[in-house]
Amino acid sequence: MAGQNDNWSSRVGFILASMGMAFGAGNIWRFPRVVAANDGGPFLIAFFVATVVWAVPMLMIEMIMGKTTRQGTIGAFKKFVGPRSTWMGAWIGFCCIFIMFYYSVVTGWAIRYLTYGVTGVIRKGIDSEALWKHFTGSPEQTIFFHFIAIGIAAFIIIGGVQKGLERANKIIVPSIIVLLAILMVWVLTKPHAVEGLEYLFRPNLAGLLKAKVWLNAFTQAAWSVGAGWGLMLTYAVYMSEHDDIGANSFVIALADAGSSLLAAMGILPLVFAVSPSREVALQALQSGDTGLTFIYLAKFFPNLPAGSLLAGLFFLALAISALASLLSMVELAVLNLGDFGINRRKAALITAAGAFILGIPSAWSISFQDNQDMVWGVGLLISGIFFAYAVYKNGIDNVRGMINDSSWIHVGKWFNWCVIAIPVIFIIIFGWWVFQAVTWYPDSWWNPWKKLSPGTMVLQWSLLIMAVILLNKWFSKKISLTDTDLVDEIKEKM
Amino acid sequence: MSSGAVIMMVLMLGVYFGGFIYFSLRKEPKKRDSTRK
Repeated sequence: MAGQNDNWSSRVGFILASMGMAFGAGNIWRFPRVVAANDGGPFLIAFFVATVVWAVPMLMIEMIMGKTTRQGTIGAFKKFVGPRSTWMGAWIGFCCIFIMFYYSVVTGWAIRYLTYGVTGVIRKGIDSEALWKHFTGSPEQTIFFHFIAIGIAAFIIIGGVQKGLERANKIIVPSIIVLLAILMVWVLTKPHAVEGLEYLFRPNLAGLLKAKVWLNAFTQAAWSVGAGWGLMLTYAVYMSEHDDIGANSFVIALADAGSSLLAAMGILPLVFAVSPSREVALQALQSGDTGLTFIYLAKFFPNLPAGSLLAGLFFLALAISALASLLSMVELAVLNLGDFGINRRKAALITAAGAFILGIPSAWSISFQDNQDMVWGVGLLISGIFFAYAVYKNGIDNVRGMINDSSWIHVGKWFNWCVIAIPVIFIIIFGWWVFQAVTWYPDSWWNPWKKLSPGTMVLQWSLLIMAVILLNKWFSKKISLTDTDLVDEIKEKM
Repeated sequence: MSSGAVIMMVLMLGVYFGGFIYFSLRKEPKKRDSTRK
């Protein structure tokens, strides 16, 4: 439960923290790759539409739930939807916490590569594939850097909302923007870099008729902005009474989308500038997130003048953006524990210790990490459905009225249509992901022991769903209620 | 760069960052009209 002194000090502080939450490693290593693989220009148009249709309404829903209930995901569902739906908040919380376990490992990778860049390990002639395999095959190293990542996050979170989270993000977020801008300007002065920009913005408008472009755009919007994770709900708990929801939702979603575009304007020209040929550049863009970042770019960075310094700046941007997102996940866990009566310092230490121990399997085995990324990444779409259910239960118009009462802009009927569309979008994206997984493993898609099979997703989700439903009464009983019953007050006014 | 790609770049930067700036500049209304739902 948030105390009275735990509010953001200003609108800028809140927006920067939310930008830090939304802008993670995926914006740097996934967005440029996905936009390149989906016709460039048409994807950017589709992504903008997806941001407005999916991410903005979802951010509004999370914000109104956090701001009115002043509790973490579990308490917010109990209060906003009803005690019988408390388990939905628990699902959302656990889904995000399971992501935190391996996300800390990924943050550790970025920190390790930052040290490689700074100490000159990334130099001309380096066998970057061997370096990556050696690092990920050395559990003592991956576990150590995972420990460093979660340790830094816990240290910042213990500092509190204003002195920890807000202060850190006021440094981190502008630094990410400046680093990406430096990277972009620097790279664009190099030969062949403009080919990357041409590739990014190729105006092949026929791509707008391709289902794949729209599916990838909605998937990217769902994951990138962090809407539906419960993270915005967590940060909204610390908003002050007069803080806006409507305009801030647009600001955060568009800041995330714009920063992704900035990252793509740096990364794609970089790939084309450092590649010996256009074919090699296109091949690199198909080498997966970690392949592109840790093998390909690490190999060719030193080909550029002052390439080691450039590599250092790039991995610094990656490490701090991953850290800012990790902070929000730790905060989500800490806030939920706080609702069970555990003080902030103790909750942060419990979260860090738990994340460290339960993150070890992902640090130990990259296959396990891939499995968890697939299972809980797609699981977030289910979290989105629960948020939509929270709105249906209270009446879409009622919730829109609550949002308007807390907004500096008028949120019109379009919000209703977007919320109605959420289950449809969910079914299409979810069906597409399952279909893809079935085509990857035509003979064993049902097998729960296969790394990326629908079978493993269903098994792990079922276990979590059963656990949270069984514990629903316990959650509901143990959760402390906030002093001010704002939800009821607002609902009475409706 | 082709002129099509340049137009697309200007358009996308305008939409993404223009929208960001537009909503960032919204201020708290002095008097809230409670009937505007």
